[in-house]
Amino acid sequence: MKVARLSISNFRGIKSAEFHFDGHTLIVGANNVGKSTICEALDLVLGPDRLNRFPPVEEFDFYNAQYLAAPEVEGADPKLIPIKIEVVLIEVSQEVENRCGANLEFWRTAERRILVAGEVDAANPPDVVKCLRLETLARYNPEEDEFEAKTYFSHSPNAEDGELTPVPKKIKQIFGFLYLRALRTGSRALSLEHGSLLDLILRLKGVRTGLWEKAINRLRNLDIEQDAPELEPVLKSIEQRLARYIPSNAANRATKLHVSQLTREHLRKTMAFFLAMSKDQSHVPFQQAGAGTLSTLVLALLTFIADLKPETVIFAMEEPEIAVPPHTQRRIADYLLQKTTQAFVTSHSPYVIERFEPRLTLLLTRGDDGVVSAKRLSDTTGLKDNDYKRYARRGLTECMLGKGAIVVEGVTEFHALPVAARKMEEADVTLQPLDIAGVAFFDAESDGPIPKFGTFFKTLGLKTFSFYDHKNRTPQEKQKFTNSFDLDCEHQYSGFEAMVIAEMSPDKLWSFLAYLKSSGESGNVGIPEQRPGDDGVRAIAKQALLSNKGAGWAARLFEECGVAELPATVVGFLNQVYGFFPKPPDPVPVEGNKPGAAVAPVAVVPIPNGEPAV
Amino acid sequence: MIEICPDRQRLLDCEGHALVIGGPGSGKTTIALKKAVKRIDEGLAPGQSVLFLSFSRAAVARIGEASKTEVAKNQRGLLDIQTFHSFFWELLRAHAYLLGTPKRLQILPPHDERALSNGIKEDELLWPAWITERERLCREDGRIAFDLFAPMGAMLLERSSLLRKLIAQHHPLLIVDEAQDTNPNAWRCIELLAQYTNVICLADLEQQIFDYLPGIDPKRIAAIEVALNPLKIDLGTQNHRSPGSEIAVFGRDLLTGNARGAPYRGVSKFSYNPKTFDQAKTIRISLGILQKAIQKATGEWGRSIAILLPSGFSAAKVSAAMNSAENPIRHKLLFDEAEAMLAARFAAFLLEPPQANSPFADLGLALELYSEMKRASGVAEAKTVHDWAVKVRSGKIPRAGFVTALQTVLKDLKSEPLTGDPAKDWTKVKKALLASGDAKLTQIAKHLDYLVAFNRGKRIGKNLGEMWQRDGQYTQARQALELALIQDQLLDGNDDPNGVQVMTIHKAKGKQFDGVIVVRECRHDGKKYVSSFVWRGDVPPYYRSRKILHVAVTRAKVHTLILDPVYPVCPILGSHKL
Repeated sequence: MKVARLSISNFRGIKSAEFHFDGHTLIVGANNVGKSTICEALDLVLGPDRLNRFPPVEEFDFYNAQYLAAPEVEGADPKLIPIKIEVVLIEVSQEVENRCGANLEFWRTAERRILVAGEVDAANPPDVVKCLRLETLARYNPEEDEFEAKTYFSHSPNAEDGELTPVPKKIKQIFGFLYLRALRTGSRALSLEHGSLLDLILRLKGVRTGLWEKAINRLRNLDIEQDAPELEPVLKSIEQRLARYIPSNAANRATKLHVSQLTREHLRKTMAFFLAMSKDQSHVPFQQAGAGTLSTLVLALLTFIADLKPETVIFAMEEPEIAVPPHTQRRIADYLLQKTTQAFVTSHSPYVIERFEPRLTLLLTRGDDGVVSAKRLSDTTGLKDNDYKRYARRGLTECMLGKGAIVVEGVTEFHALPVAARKMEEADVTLQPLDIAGVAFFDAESDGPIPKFGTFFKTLGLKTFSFYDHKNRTPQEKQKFTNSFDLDCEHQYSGFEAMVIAEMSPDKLWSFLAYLKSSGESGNVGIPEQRPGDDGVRAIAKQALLSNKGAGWAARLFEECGVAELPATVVGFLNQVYGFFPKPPDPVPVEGNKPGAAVAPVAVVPIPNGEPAV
Repeated sequence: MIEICPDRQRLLDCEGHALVIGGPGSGKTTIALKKAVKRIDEGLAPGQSVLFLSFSRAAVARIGEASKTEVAKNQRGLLDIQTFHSFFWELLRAHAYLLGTPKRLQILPPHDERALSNGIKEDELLWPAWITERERLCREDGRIAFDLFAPMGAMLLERSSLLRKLIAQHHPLLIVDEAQDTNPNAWRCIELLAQYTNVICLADLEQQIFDYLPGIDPKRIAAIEVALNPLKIDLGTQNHRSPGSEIAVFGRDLLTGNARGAPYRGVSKFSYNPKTFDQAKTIRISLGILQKAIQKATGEWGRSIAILLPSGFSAAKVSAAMNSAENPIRHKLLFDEAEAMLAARFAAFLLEPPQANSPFADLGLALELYSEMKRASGVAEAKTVHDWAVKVRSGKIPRAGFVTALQTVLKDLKSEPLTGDPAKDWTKVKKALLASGDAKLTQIAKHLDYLVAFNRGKRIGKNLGEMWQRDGQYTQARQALELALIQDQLLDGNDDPNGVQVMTIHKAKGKQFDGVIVVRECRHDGKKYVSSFVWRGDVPPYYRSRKILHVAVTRAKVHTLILDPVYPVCPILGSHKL
């Protein structure tokens, strides 16, 4: 079973949104854009235990905490604003089809909609498939002063007029939905709470724990007083006093201390999975184990579940990369892609992101009106799947989550320009540092691919900048560059090295070359003892920069410079980039201890993303 | 218990479609149930069930009874016994919107259908107009008449392969009872489903009692064979229902017109003089004879007895006679519901508190209700009464006797307050109607009897009682009535009850009793006396009538008694010496 469509209304940070999914889905985007909200929404509809919580939702689950609207007429009852989350499931299992046949509807795969009245002839393969539509409604009940939430079949032909049939928990369990949140991964997985991984495993294996009854019984029969002999005389004297007021017919002792009152819920929460991770350790409860150990343990449990081959596993997992090394991140991502029916993953990590094809990756953005939309990466023009995969770990994923991208054509520029930027930022505090502005460098490795990366970033909504060598290009070719970039900078030199030697002072170049020679790093580059003439220096410098260590040397050369000594072209280009991301005004300083003085509020200004400040 | 003969074993072993032909009592149902059990034992996926489709609620009840013996308790949930109607209703409720109806559907019950259509019949001039209206009611209002169930079901399955496969997946084995009587649309559905699931048809070549209904094709069996290419099993005429008796043989001879000239074991007749006989007394004597015969054959009294009449009117007459005798004979009457329900609606109105506003509002409304009732059986009278209602509402009272009588009844009921005991108050209304002296009103009272016979009285009483408790009057008596009656529409009206039942031969289809009294009546067709065994319109050699009589006679397990008038001679029965 898979989720084909998810519609959210009035839930948490999302006023309204509609998402279409095509199998596994990776959700990326800035923080707070709504990634976890999607997972929480799925849990509210598909999770068998989610609605058992009391209360199932609370104020802040409603968009802007608004669950009541002022009545139109004074004195009338306020209108209720509900949360509504709707899910369309396709490839429904046979058991659900047999049990919920009357609630099934039909889904047009290409047009992505449900068949409506009169469309019986369309209800045939291959264009149309069966689907099951579910919705969770949550609202405030003023009479009970409580929040209520329930999941229903959207198509309820057998229900009373105006009502919907609730979805039984047993059916929800067949969906096999599992949600591992980013925080508290450990207890979500390893306690025995309803819905935890361990609980799921036990259920899949058909283990009906008489565990609880037996454990409770044993605890109840535990004779505490055995271990506390001094208790007995105290209890006896209490009894004697009691007897003066209330005659007791108890045969033995009337009072006793028990580990009583324990319920199944208590046990579920407090029975913990104990681990001993190395020979010298005794078992410790999992909460004490390292976060990394836990995450790996989670992976182990997941593979266990996969081997039990439940019919469906729809898995939502937030940030699987937390506290685990890259190879484990990859293994978790691969598990999710291969062993689950459908996985929903949120991530910031390139190791996870690169495992998902652009077709499966959604970039979320939020509008000011609370409408969240998703862009499928494969819809952005220009980048083939191969390119994406190859460059994913080479900065593509870092850039695409940012606000701006500077595309360069070689590793020399890639290392040197950031150094120049840093120098400039250190010298001038009025500049907004690129890191903070969310601007990153991207190495296209040659000039040819530059436009397609520019287009890719541009369609994702980033500000795009290019910096590359001069070359004879046809007007059409040149047009490609200018179209893809907000700032398209083709500098006048035929190579970066040529620019450096032309624009930097020969003295500066020579001091660096001399340093290389004295430290013995010069390698194959022949650097004479005596400083040659300016042209000679330039020639050697060019040779050095073009050598196989040239990329690192360019960066180190910049490192030794003040801003005035850096190539003017570079500085000029970077200044233009800074212009796109002006620094917000400093917060107003709080007044000192003057009596009666008001404390000025700290100004919080959103970082503007607009045109370069004049 | 029936031993598994080789034929039956072949059915059990068969992997594909099958057609089982056999006469009444040949054990078709039993072997079909055994097959269902075998399929269940082989394992069903979660949510799957074996579907057993039959025609009437009575048949469903009978099969349900039989399944208690054949199917283990924990397996019964996996066997789904339904009428065609309820099967179609489930399908339509969930998916009919695909055909263009609204998503919320309601059944248009037969009595309301009759009222809306003015009781129009198929051969009448205005029938096509009614068909159009019926379709509009479905398409726009979501109210579906029973007759539309099968055609719409067939359309859905015909046009959507996803739905066909869904149903077939739900039911890996489909057993169709009385397959020879399926109408074309129901058969089309079976045919479509047969591509994806296993179908077993049970049929009786001689039982085609309904072949006078439109669309029932006597060649259905041939069509089944062509479409399914099934394993064919003929259980022949072994009659296990009445093993020790020759009832089956007698039945066959009636069909073939072959009178053997000697009595048959388990069959006898009792003669009466249609001019001078006392109905109740004759019935009483016949019952005695029948029971003695059963006692002699089996050593026990018969527990279930049926008295079969040719028409609803006769059944009502006999039932009334049995009720009004000095020593009433206890029995249940199975009767045609529609008109009875409308009469009950009228009576319920009489229970409701009078409308305060206009003095003649009640009279007008009563007339309107009566008119509606009469629309169900013919236009002319309904229109007359309707015109009276209009006149009354405009302030004038027509001078017709009926109106006057109705006014008197309304006045009488107002003068004495109701007690709040629904049974007493209902009787009060009935008595007031009977006392009116008006033929129309007394007829309504008679219809009320039939209603009580259905055992819905209890439910009606409960609803009315609650209403009185709440409001101190029967504020919405009509609504209480509707609620009590609609609940029974599709549901298993269960009870294969014991005791004496009175019904038409058609209502007896699919049922079985320890003993049966088949009543032959002397009728006058305007010119001469005719035998009621000869069906209206039937011509020699009376194939249709013979089939119907065959059904009647073979309902008995132990003994059949024919109540035979001394005149006229019956062309079908005459030559037999019983």
